[in-house]
Amino acid sequence: MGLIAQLLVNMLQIGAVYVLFALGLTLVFGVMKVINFAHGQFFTLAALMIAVTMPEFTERFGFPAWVDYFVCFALALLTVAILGVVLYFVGFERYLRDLIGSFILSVGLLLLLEGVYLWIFTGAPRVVPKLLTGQVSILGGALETQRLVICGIALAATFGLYQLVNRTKLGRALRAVAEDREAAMLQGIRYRRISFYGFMIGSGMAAIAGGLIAPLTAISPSLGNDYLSKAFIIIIIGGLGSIPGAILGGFLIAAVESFAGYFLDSSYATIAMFMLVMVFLLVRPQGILGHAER
Amino acid sequence: MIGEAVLELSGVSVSYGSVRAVSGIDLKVYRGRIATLIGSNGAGKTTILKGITGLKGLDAGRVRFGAEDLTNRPVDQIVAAGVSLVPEGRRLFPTMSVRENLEIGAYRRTDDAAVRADFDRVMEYFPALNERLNARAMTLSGGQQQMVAIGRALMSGPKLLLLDEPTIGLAPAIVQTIGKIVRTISESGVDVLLVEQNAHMALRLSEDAYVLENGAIVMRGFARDLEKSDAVRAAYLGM
Ligand SMILES: Nc1ncnc2c1ncn2[C@@H]1O[C@H](COP(=O)(O)OP(=O)(O)OP(=O)(O)O)[C@@H](O)[C@H]1O
Ligand SMILES: [Mg+2]
Repeated sequence: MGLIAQLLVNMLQIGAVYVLFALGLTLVFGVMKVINFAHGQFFTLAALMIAVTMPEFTERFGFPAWVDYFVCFALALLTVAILGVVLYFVGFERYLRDLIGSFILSVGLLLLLEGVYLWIFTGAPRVVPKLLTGQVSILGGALETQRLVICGIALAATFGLYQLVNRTKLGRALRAVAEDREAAMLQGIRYRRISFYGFMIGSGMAAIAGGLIAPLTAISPSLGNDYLSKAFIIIIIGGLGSIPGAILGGFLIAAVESFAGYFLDSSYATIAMFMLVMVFLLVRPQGILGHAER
Repeated sequence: MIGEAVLELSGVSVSYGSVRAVSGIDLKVYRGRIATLIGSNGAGKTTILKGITGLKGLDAGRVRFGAEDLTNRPVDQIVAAGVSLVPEGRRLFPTMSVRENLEIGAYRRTDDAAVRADFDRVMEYFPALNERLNARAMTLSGGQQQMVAIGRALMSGPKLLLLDEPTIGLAPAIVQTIGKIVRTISESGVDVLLVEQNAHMALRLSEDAYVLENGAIVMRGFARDLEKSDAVRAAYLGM
């Protein structure tokens, strides 16, 4: 039982990170009709920023580690936001609804940013200091308090952003533009403005995901690449542009990874994931919740 | 005297790339009089509506709406000025509920009480929508979808309603309902420009009519006169 609890928490936690990452990617695609291959770089930057600034903070101010974490997290989000604004206005704004132009731009940015990160942060893997010590026991198994707390935050953030997209006026405008740009414009929705907001929110989701993964993994400038490929798998499974699909797909992939990874072997988990993609491409190419082209 | 023109297009030309789709369009919609624009497939009807609403830029010509010059203004400003389009093919937001589709029509409005009143009015016009409010738009029948599309356009509180082939593909009974509602909308003080291939219904419903062929207006006049003209009867009424 303890093992199951551990795997379950693991699944929820990676799942929430995958969902945030993939949701951001799918939102940017929906609104701008751009597949942002540099999406993972926002994720990476947030994690790197936290890893670099946190030890400095701890040394200087001596607050508890979790306070430092939140301050550095906020700082990381701010940094990503600045990068996002620059990339949007210098680059992406010119390639809205241009799949080929934006492909070239975003692949270029992917490589460029990875190089810049290497240059600034060096390639050495970094670890974020422990935020919380201690363990709690759930269902007879011991779990690190830190993992549990981060899992809770990740789930809350996922839920919050889902609500933002589903329940707010801005979210409705984002969905409207994604479903039918011209029809959205005819309701008085300013497409260019909404597309900017969509880009910032989507990229922000990647940054939040990066910040949440930071305490749990070794961080290097290429951290985002693995998540980007998983996000594509998730989007294929969930349906391109589908928000509920990204959520289902994210948790599904996390479940496969946690359970197959434990009971079989991590390489089997990867194979299982690709099998899943193959099955979907064969049986239901539009994904779980995607719509066939009208 | 017919009164004052609410909408006036003069010399409007629109192209797709280097191909002219419509040229030199002069057209007026008068206060309280339904105007119709009829024409066959590919004549350029939708293109004219895109020119009015700002979805397509104009190569030449002007669009005046009341005292405002709408020529080449952004779509959201044209909507804010009081022009609302029911687009060809309805173009609902398929995964949103009927209620969301209607509410999004009022996206730019802040007069909540008036928005609620408009919502109630749409429900009065289309009582069939009442029990479908929580259904996703894509699950509705064609007729109901058209009702939502018209309702959504009304939710912006327009002064001028543009309808692009609202009856296409619908059963005769629904065509009747839509026709009646368009009349009611016009009588409620919202001016109407109706684009149709269904010339029977359009000419009977409207006061003024324009016939579009190959991107140019070839006939104009009172709808009842055009209905009797031999050229129109042969080309559009199948007589
Ligand atoms: N997006 C486009 N790109 C290129 N040409 C277009 C485009 N849309 C329309 N056209 C061309 O412009 C002309 C007018 O088209 P438009 O859609 O305005 O006609 P319509 O009168 O609305 O026809 P229908 O009754 O079929 O809706 C046609 O020759 C059409 O092929
Ligand atoms: Mg048309």
